[in-house]
Formats: sequence, C-alpha cells, structure tokens
Amino acid sequence: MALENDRGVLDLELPGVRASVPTARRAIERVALDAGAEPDDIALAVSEAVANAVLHAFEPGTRGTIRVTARRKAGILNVCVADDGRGMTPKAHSSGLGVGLGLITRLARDASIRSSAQGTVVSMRFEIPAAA
Amino acid sequence: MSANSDIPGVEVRIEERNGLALVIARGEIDLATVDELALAVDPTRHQSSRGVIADLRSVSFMDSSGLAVIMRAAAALDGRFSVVLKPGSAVERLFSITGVLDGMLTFSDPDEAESVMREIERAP
Repeated sequence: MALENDRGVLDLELPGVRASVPTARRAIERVALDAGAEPDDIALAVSEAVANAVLHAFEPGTRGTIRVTARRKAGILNVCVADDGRGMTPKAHSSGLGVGLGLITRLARDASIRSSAQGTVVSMRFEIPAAA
Repeated sequence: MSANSDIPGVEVRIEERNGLALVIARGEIDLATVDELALAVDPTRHQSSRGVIADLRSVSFMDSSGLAVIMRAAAALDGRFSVVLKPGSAVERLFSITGVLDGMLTFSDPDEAESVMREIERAP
C-alpha cells in the first residue's frame, strides 16, 4: 500500500474487502481537508464507489485490488476509484448498487464510469472552493 | 502507516421502551459495519414488539448500505418503524438527497417519535 497526501495527492491500493471502505474514506477525508475541499460529500462518494467495487467487482473466492487516487488541479479535486475485477455486472437482486451510483452523480460536480472485463473505473471531480 | 488504526466502527444497542424497541446506533455505518445495524433492526426479531425507533443521532457517517437496511426495515414493519435524526447532520443529508426523508417517519427526538407511534397505534 502506498499513501501520499502531503499536497492533496493520494495513491492508495487496498484489498477488495469490506474493511477497505472506511480505510479509503479516512484517506480521502484527509486529502479533501488538506486541499480545502468539503470533505463530507467526497468521503460519501468514495465510500459508495469502494463499496460498489467490494460488492460487485470480484468473483466469489477471488482477491481483487481497489486503487483510490486523488489529484488536485486548478480548483478541482479529481478522485478515481479503480478495481481490477470483472466489470459491472447487473444483478436482479443487487443490494443498493443503483442508489450508490446515483449518490455519486449527485455529490460530485461530475462523474463517469468506465467498465470492461479488466475492471471498473469511477472518476469523480469535486470543486475546491476558493479561499476566503 | 497503519491505515486501519483510526477506524472507529459502530456500536448498536437495543432498549425496551414501553413495548417499543429503541435501537440506538453510534459511530460510522458503511459496508464494513452495517451488519450490526441490520441485526438490530431485523424485522423478524421485532415481530412481537409494538414498533421500532432507530435513533441515528449519534451516527456520524452513513452510506447507502445503512440506508438500504433502514429502508428494508421500514417497509417490513409498515407503520411501526421510525427514525430519529440529528437536524443538519450528515445522516439527515443522506436521507434528504436520496429522497428517503419524505417517505419515512422521521423525528429529531425519540420522545416525539414514541408519542406519534402510539397515536398511530391507537388510530382506528
């Protein structure tokens, strides 16, 4: 695992397990605070994205990886949650997938999802308010 | 650096309150901790109860995993389930932006929740 947030930059590699959800949230909260961004919405969005990866990305019995990165650029905090799982697979009895992705799109300034057989990448952009 | 060293988790306890079950949660509810809340509000354990009040005022963070548990309990206990939220909290905001706030019996005080649930119970 590599963690670097000295200048609002994060590169965090986590196992695809439930315990990684609060770990990712804690890390992005620190980055958001360091960057001067509103941490609550960013933490919630990342929590949703990591939870989606844990629940839906990996075949049962396999151990996947989730990578959370953040970059600050020109008043924007770019946050990316990527997994190396099987890609998004709609399920009839999915537990909250739609709600989670819907929340992400509401919380972020804009968000996009790319999914393939090599994994899913959720990219989110959050505004950093100008300092008073 | 140990990334897990500052994860607070969640505490959930159940108190009996004049025939109602008061479920009091404290901490952070996400995919890693939601099972504790799910067990506490599980409708099958409250079938003989007059109703369930979920007090979430001390929950500092909740995501859609916790929201899904609350929504399932509310649906199963149809009219016998209410939620207590701290005004202006992150949890109230979650309920609001997902539209759940409008469709659920919510209060800011457990006494008020109990009083209203008794009125509903007495209603013909």
